Amino acid sequence: MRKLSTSELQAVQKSIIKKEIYAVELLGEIYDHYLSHLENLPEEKFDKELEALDQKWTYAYCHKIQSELNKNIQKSIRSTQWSIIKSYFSWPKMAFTLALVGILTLLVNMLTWKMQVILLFLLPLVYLVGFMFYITYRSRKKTKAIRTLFGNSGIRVRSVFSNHFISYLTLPLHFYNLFLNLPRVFGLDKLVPDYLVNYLSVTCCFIVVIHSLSSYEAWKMKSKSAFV
Amino acid sequence: MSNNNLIKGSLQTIILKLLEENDKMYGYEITQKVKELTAGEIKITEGALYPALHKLEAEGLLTTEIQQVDNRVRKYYSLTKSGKKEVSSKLAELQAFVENMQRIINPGLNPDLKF
Repeated sequence: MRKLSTSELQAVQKSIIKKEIYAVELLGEIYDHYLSHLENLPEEKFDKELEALDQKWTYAYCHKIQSELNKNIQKSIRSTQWSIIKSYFSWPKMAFTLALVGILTLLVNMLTWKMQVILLFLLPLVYLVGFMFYITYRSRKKTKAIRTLFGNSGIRVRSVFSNHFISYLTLPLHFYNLFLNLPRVFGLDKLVPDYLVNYLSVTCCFIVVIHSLSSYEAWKMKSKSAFV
Repeated sequence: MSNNNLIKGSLQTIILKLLEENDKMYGYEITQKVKELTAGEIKITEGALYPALHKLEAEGLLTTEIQQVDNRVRKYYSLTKSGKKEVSSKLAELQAFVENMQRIINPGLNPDLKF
């Protein structure tokens, strides 16, 4: 095994850049595959073998893997978070879930409508927005080396995992807009009877809190192996 | 001899078996190991390997670890707890398939014969 020269490394980078891949996860893997293969061959075979690798890793093939990677990452985030959410409804976490519902119900009955919105909705949403910024920062830090290598391709190189994870974090914001803001725009919010408002508040807040907690736990698990 | 379509069907089993024996491996290492074990008869194409690895990871059968190696990142794959459980059932499935194929190819052979 030999160490590749700077010009050889640049040739490899150039040939990978041509494939216009944006997923950091895939770029890292392809780059390592190319180098692992080329390091085992003598210098005189470099050009021929690089061409052979390029014929295997074609533009179309790379984009096919990238699209499958997107699907698999989405599936992985969904299943991880769902398994965490399910665990909140099984012993011993069930005690925590019941306590959370109890506290929320007490708070809703004690607080005015304005305070309910501030404490039960805005706090978790502010937490989620802060968490999103933190994940973006962490992901950029973790992917810096790969972005430096392939960043001048004209394509915004980024972590697919981080992108999908952030999309999942924003779900409660869409939920908030769809179920609370939109009915207000059409004046439908007045149709909800007063006695139902407290129950709806507890339910909505419970969903947002569980989503926030499970997202954090999913991130803790995935941050060890993914670019988040 | 090696036919890509035949290999594709058993690729997940091959990956799981190799990872059971080798603790953790990266993509290129898997292709080389298969080549070495089969004396070059079976060559896993990158076209099939990486999507299979990503799929197994998404299914929770594999976990990954990113390591910095000579100024580049290397993604190591290893079996999760459920991945370890899955190895034996996948192997049994493949074994049964090979036995049934053998019965079809050689109908005269003893049906109770195990390979």
